[in-house]
Amino acid sequence: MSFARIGSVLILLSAVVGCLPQGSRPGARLSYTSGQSGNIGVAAAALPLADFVYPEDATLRQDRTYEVVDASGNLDRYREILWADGTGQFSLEIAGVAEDGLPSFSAPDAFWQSSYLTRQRYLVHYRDFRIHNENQVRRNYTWSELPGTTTMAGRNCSRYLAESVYSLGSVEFVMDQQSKLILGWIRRDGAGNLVCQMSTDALNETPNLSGVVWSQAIAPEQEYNGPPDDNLLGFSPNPVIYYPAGFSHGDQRIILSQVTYGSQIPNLHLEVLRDGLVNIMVAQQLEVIGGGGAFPEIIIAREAEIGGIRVMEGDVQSIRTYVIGSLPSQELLAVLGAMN
Amino acid sequence: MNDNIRPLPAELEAELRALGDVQAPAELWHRVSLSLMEEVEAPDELWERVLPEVEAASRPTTPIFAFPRLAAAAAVLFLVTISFVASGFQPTAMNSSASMSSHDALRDYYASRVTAVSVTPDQLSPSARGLAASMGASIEVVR
Repeated sequence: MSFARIGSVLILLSAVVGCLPQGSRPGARLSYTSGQSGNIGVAAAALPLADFVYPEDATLRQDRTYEVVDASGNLDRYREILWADGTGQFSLEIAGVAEDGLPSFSAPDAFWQSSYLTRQRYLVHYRDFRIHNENQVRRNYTWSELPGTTTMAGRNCSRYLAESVYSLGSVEFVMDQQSKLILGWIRRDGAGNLVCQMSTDALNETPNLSGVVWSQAIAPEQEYNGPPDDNLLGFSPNPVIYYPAGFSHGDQRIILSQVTYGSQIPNLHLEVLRDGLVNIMVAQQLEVIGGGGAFPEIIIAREAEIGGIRVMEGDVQSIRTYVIGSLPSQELLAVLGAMN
Repeated sequence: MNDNIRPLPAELEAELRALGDVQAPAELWHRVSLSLMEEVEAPDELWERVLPEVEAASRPTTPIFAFPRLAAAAAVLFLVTISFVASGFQPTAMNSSASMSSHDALRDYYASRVTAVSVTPDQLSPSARGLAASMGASIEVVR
């Protein structure tokens, strides 16, 4: 066969392959049907992602358990109650605490109740997982429906697994097959280790919402609109230069913490980097103590690993900068280092 | 047998000898030689008999940019590219290893600009603890 003929055959083959749905291609993983064994999935680009309903967007009372690995490697567990009215209002309360791997829950003390009161909005917006951007998820993850049906809070559920194509971990969702409501999720790091997870213990979709105190931002927030807003911060935020693979910039906000806490806690510039599912928080704040160095070439940072959630805290050009997320330390350090 | 056969060019002879185990009939040497001089063509029957072995073992002797081959290659590249684009081709860790390697180098460069000191969570500032707790870290938040 001549090279021209071979070329013609290849042309036809490539054209045919290009026209096939991805699931039909040789080597592509096919969508699974219930009852099959094995984890069968497809590149997230091939199929529409699952049409999830998120608890905070529904009308419900959700009794749930949040579990997270602590700095000692033990599992800390928190019983939570999420109330939501279907219009965007929600409230997240704490109902029980079982830290350091203890088997039984104790009633939350005033400290924990206060802690949840101030953090509830951030926990729902930044801790809990949801698909923020479908296109990003298609680019950055492979998407699989796991085989079989699982039961959670008395509901038959399907499980979906999003695995980072950049080996930056995975998120598994548990979805009520009937209502499409997300009843649980599991976040694992790139090595497959558990970072945190949430599961539903009981669900009431016709709750009595009278008396529920809906969450309020503990400190006023507003969008950051560039230099005109710098007077609120007392500095010009350093731009994020380096993004971990698949991540891009998110909205920039100013948290007016001085309104609530006074000058002791300066206002905060907050940017959340996202890859469609996972968040990295980058915050900048005028230093309270000390002046920092004069444009040091090397940033001295404090690094703490709290389970799978890592915190970098350093001064970049006299601006206290925090980078927080569940990615490897090297990624978060690079975000910080590139801001100098 | 033609007695006016001239010796093959050394390069061609070396290439033919490099065919190794292919046993060409002695007649072929003469016919090939004549063919190169455009004095006579090998009979079709002979070519058909030896062509499979020669094609399997030989290196290309025609110019590498001969038109049919170039056209075919260009067309293949073009259509493969089009088909990848049309099929929603996306970079993965495997097929973008070069760009990932570059990305990793950039990451390591920026990370090297930070000297990180490991601390326990309680040695972080209150703001850092508060932000970490907002991301779900199990940490006491004391303001």
